[in-house]
Amino acid sequence: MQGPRAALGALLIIAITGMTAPAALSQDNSQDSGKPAAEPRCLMCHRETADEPVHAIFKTPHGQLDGGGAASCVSCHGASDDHQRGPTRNPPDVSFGPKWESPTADGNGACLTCHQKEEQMFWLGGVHEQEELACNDCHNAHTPRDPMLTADGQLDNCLSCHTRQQAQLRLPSRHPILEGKTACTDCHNPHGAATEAMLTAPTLNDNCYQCHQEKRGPFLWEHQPVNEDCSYCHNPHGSVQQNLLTARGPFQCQQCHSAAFHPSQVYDGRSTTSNSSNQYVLGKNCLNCHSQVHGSNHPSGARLMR
Amino acid sequence: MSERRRTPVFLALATAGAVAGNALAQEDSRPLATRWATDYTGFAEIGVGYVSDENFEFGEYNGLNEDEAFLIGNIDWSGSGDGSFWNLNGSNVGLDTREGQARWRNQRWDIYFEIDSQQQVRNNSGRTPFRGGDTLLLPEGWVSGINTSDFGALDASLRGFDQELDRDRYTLGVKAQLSSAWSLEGTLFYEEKQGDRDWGGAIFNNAAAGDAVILPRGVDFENTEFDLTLNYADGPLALTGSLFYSEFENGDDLLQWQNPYSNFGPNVRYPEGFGGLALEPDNEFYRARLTGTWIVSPTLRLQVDGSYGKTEQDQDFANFTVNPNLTVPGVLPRTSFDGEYETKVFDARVFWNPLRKLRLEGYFHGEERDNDVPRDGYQYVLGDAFPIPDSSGQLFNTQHSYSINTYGIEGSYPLPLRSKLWLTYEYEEIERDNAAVTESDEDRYKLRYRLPILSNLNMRVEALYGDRNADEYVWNQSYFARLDVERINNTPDSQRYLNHPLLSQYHIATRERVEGRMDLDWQPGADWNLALNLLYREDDYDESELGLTDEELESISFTASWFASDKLVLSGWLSSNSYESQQSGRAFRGGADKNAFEIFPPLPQASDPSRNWDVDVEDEAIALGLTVEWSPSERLELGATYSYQDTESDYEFGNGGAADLSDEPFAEDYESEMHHLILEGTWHFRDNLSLAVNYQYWNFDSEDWAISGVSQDSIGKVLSLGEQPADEDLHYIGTSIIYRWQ
Repeated sequence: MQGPRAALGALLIIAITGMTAPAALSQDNSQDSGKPAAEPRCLMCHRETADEPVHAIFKTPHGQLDGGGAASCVSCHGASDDHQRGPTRNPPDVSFGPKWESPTADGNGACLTCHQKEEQMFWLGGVHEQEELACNDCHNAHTPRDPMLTADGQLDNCLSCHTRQQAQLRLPSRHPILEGKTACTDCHNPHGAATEAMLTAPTLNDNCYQCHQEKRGPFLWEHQPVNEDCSYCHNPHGSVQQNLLTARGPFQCQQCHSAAFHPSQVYDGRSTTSNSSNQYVLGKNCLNCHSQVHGSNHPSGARLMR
Repeated sequence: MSERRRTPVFLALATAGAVAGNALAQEDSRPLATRWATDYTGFAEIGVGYVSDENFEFGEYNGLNEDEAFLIGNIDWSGSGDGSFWNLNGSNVGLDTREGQARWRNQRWDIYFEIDSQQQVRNNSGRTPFRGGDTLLLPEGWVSGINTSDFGALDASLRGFDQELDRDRYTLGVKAQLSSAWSLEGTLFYEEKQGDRDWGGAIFNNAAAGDAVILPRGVDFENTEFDLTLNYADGPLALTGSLFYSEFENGDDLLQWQNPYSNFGPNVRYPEGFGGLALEPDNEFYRARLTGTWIVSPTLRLQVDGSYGKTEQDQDFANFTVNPNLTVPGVLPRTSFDGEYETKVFDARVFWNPLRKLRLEGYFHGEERDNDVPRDGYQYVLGDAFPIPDSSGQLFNTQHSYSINTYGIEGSYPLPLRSKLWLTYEYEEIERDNAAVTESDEDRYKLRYRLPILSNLNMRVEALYGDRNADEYVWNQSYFARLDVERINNTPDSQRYLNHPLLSQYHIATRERVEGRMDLDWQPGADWNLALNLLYREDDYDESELGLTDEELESISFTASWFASDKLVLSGWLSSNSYESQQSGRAFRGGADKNAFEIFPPLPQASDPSRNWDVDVEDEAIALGLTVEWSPSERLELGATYSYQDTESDYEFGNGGAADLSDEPFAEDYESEMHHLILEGTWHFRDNLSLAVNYQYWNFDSEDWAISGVSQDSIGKVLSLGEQPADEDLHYIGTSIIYRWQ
């Protein structure tokens, strides 16, 4: 296994590179922040004894921005001079509610100052940006752990709008999404992507292969639609039929296969009782024999039975 | 709260009462939630849970599939200091679905290690006579026969067979912020997937004489992955370049089973005969990917995402057959496959605001799968039973490559009444090698309109029309691509096809698509939130005579939330989804009846339209959920959730009137019904100590004509597992104590 050794080597390189990189991060941040010359007075009013858990942010990296303390407040909320002069009359420059709420673009702009990169680089123009979602519709910076960074928190948030998936995720055949074992973000990037359905991998099949590597092949005997698009046969969010199938065998197979003899026959109610044809309908239907539907690597596996 | 986190909780009321005296000892006037968020650094939960019955639906993924008591254990502990942060957490420690993470980070570093165990339990009610691992043997005294009903020692030979797959995943990640613009990150991931599942296998010399078995197949997979990513972001430009490597290893190459049947010759039948299946080959996957966004000006920006991937496998081939005494003419053309395919994907988007309100977007998606595999003829051994004695038995593997190019343009413009309109046109062309249709293209038109009807009522409608045109459908392409020339020459012209010439495979067929959506969001008051979501889609394969001809999807979802007070929240949702499909076939035999081109009576079966049949399938699912969250006091949280689901698959047959065809429906539908009730309560009798209880009632009942009442020997030519549909009625109770510290 060359791969793991190379991987460990590369992790070591990251460590060395990180340790030897110039230590200029804090200076870089302060240069860009545009904070006022005077020390902001946020924490004189927004005290630890307030009802709202404002100070919980200091348990997070957001509370350390620009050196932490009140300086971190203005790094997101702006200098807010008017608010400092008249705290009950004037809102902060950027406010996320509930009392005052800045326009979505302003609120998001505060976040994008730092986060318009990496996984968030496609936010502008993405579906959620076009729907005018605010960052704080999903995220909460003033908490030690943003719920959206957990699979469970994502589920609650995403399903509040994606109601069709609410029901699909509970169908008899499904992925372990309700259990938090598969997160929405394992497959989708809610911050936008250039890919279809904001998938994290470049193609739909690559997305599926992230967990189902054994189906990557290439196989000696390929099943052509399988290589193209898993969703020809599977519903990833859940299905009435087992194995997330869009339809049940033998009918699903017969949507594309009508060869002489048994593949062309009608499998109606008689075929569940007749011993001459129940082998094609009962049990695993076509897969009683053609179990290698994702491809076979056997020299005699042309019919996906080996 | 999701179901996994609903870590059950209950405590005896007597115990609770005994400590109640301390409950209000705190003087702090801040809300309890604020005190936890601000003052506390961690919690540990410990308790015991109990599941009343063994199951495989309730516990399919959550580890609660056994009728047993188990330990409830969760922990979360965070800290910070000197600009660094750390967190330790673990959950479900008493279950096979446990997971945990340790993480430390500061401005420069982010280092974490994760463990995640997953489990999938499938229908575990089946039994099998087979024993062993990758070579499955029948027990001593096995009585073979022509059909499963002849297996005299079957009942005495059966053993339980649990279908369970376990994944254990380990991830080590490091991220270094090299400067304000550059960061480098790497992830090392290792996974084991092990367990058993069912797998079909057959020994046969033709389709009518297949001796099939459902086997208990072991799964022994390993996957190792590495990802190295370099990020750059400075002002208007952000770039991410990554290298990804994945190595999949299958611990089993070949699954062999002893033939339980007595058909065929002594080299094939019980006890000497075996069947053999090649399992998934080891493979390696490499990918390089570059993504970037460039804000050229306030009115113009570019986005790109390009990747190159390569997948390889070179596993040694198995022999033509596992039965050594069968004489196979010819030799393997190669000892291993040495196959690879490349995947190239490029996405680009340009956003331009030529006017203040007008936004234009142009995009391109290019995808290519280039399958570079050697093509050879392989002698075909029918089901480890019958080697075709000459070269006419050769079959040729084919290369499947394709390319997709999609071009699109979208414009959006705000209209009066604060509404907004989007118009999209998209053109897609697909080319395939070795397919019945080598070229197809599709025009898609989409309209989206968002209108705030009232200040508290928003509507969004969307309509899509797609028109896909496939080039000539070459119905005999696969026949000529795969069969040996000698066999082709020995076959009459009228029978030179695999699939009937009137069949069109839907994924490459001409198609017309119509889709409509409507979403309504209404907040009739500050306390109410209502939403209605509708979806309709129809795919019409209007040039297909046989195969899938029509699909229709209808979905209605309604959600409502009522924030009665800050102590009481009620919410609910109702969803109805329906998927209908229509497909047709023509029943025909081989030989002279395979002639698909006769126009004068008597018509061979393949030419006879009266032998057409069709089936309409309708899958329906109705689901609802109701939740009440009530906090009569700050220190007591109560919740109740009820979920219901009803699914049904209905099949209606129609046929052209041939005497041996029937429109007889199945005696039973395929259906399921689920009720799930969760009652939970948590009493925070001190700031740092809570008692929790969780009770769940689960009822799942299903009918499935494919397995209901089907025992191991019900199917004459398939020795099945005899598993029965789920019929679960169980209770779950858990109680735990949660301790928090500062």
